[in-house]
Amino acid sequence: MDDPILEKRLKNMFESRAGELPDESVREARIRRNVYEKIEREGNYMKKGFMKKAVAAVAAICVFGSMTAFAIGKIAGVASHTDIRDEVHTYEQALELQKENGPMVDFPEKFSNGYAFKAAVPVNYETEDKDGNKLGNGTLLSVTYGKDGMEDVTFSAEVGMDGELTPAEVRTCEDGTELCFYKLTNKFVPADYELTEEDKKAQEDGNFNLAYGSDKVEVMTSYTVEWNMDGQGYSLFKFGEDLGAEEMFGMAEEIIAGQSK
Amino acid sequence: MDEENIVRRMINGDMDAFGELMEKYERPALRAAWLISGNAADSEDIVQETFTACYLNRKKLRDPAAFKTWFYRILTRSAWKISRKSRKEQPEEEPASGQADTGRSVLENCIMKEEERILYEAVEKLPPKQKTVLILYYYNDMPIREIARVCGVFEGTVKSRLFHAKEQLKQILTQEEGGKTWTILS
Repeated sequence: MDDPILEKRLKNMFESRAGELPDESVREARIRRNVYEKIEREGNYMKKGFMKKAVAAVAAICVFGSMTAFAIGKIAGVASHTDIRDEVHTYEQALELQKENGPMVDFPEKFSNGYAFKAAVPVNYETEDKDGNKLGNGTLLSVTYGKDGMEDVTFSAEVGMDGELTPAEVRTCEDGTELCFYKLTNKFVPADYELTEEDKKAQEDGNFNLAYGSDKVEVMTSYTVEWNMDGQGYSLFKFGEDLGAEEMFGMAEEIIAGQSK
Repeated sequence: MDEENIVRRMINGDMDAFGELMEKYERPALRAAWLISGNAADSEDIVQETFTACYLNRKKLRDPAAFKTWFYRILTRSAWKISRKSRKEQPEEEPASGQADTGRSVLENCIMKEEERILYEAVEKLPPKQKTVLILYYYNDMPIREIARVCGVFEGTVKSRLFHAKEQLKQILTQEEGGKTWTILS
């Protein structure tokens, strides 16, 4: 039932009332600041949304071990931090970031399997020994490639660690570079999480990556191809099972082949 | 650049695009949240939660053209949730809506046009979902179809809520005015 008088008055009242919000500009500025802070914080705490991207880098540099519990060489843990505001979304911008953060090798804009450059972000990391002593720190560039309907693949240089795990598959390239394919179970847990007996056993068995900083326990399988060039380790990393070892080997070979061009 | 492209960039994680959307939607969102919640501090929390959820869940937005609807859906859900929580936390003698938290002095309230004040207080007495439909329709100028998508209900339900809200307003206003009819306000 139309009631033009009431409707007009409602409209006027809402408009008048809406304009009476006290300190509107101050509130808007505060909202913007808080939203960015919250997004960044939640990204760091690996919540859904940023989680895969943020964690991809963490997991990639922790590919040979745990964040906390068991040592690989001297390094027992790696803590990393990314700032979402540093992320770039064009290949040209990524090449600029590369000048400052590495990697030393070239990375392609596109792979022949359709994966294309999507984003890049510098990852600040710190390594520590099993007693929590800082061993070193640095920055590396995490480069993400995307393809419609597929999980993202991340390429980055790696923190130097001595691998103790047995790769699921190994391939030797024409130039002699050895590519190792690993399948890992990543368990993201809150800071106060206590290891279960099952976790301890999984750690002893290897291929288990424990990462603190999530707000809830979440288990995800990841796949990594790792190789060495000129004494530096590199990796291609992804979550999900939609890309097999063969295709990831192919992508690694393209990066390696790209250096000799 | 049209909004669809900006949204597409935001979905791909472009923070500049997200900033552009914030720029465009922040003020109307804050005002809508203020109208729904009737509380300045809550309206700030609502918009903050909405934008944060919007970015963190951006991959869930399948159709970039439907951003506005999706955005207001998050906003209304946040508003209902935060207002409900706020009402529970308010002491009995200090209602969540009305004059107590408008920041206006008694003098300012007296200055406020009487008819407008009566109407506002009547709207505040409506159930949150009816009030939200009224605000989206009369303040945000959303068509019935879009409100239906925002609220996740059929168009008929939106029409029904609008109708009942207005009927209820008339009743409240009649009672408030001590038996005077609505036409006196016209």
